[in-house]
Amino acid sequence: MSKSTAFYALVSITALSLVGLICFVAFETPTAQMAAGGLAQKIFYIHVPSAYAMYLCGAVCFAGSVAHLSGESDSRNSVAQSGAECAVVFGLLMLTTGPLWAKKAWGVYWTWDPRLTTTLLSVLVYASIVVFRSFVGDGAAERRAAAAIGVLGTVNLPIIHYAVRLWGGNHPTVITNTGGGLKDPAMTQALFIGFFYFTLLAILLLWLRTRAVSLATQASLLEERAIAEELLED
Amino acid sequence: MSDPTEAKTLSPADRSAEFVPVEGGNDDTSAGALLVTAYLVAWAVLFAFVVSTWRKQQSTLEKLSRLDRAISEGVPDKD
Repeated sequence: MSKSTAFYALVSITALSLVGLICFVAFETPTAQMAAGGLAQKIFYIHVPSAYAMYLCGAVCFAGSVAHLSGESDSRNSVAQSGAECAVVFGLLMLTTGPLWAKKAWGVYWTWDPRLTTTLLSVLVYASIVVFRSFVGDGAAERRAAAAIGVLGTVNLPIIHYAVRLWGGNHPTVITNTGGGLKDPAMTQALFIGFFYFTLLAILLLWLRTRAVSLATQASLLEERAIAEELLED
Repeated sequence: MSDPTEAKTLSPADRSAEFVPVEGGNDDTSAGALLVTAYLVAWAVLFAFVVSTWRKQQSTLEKLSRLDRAISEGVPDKD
């Protein structure tokens, strides 16, 4: 199978699973109890998977960063950078959908709960990588610095996961043997469709961004060559 | 005076299964409006990201082909 066929197959399956998720959440999942936000609890089926997708992209950023620090290469740098960019996007999804649900379930959009605070910190770390790369250029030292932040940023991910178990706060632990409040099988099924959709979406976005970063690197190399051959003004 | 947004203290076991309102908050916002807003914002963010990636990629591809042409033909790139 060619890369292009695989890419369009991935786009098609992702689009179908999105339609499946929306239909399932709209027509199959029951409305939760008022304490969980009633109808607003259905935000859960994109909120939790987007958190999971952020972890996934954070792990990709970590792997790319460690690989780049152990042996520098353009492809490893592209993977690290795209991981950070996609982690910011999924982090933003989580940080916008969560407060909208919290308004109904808790009565406020935001509270400085340990999990919310550590999540915000993590998104800011990944955003700092994106901003850093945009402003300081693409030299070897800048790439290494961004990779180092990528490694350090990932250290916070397990802290987010365990924050709710270790410290006080409002955020439920969500996925445990006893927690999450998923009393109806349709709720669990919708959550797993959400996980499936967001896994495909994360792979798709990582693919797109890695290719975009690789092309930009090729363009800057050609640009340097053109300048050296005096075909382009510095 | 206590902070109105202060969370109630719960044991980890309680927190795993409950949604407890923050003291001083209110839930008079429509759940349907919040739900629709959340889904719309989520897809809008994703759509904007994909479109911006696609546009950047197109402009990079154009730049690459211009530079390729300039290098292979040895003609300075005017753009």
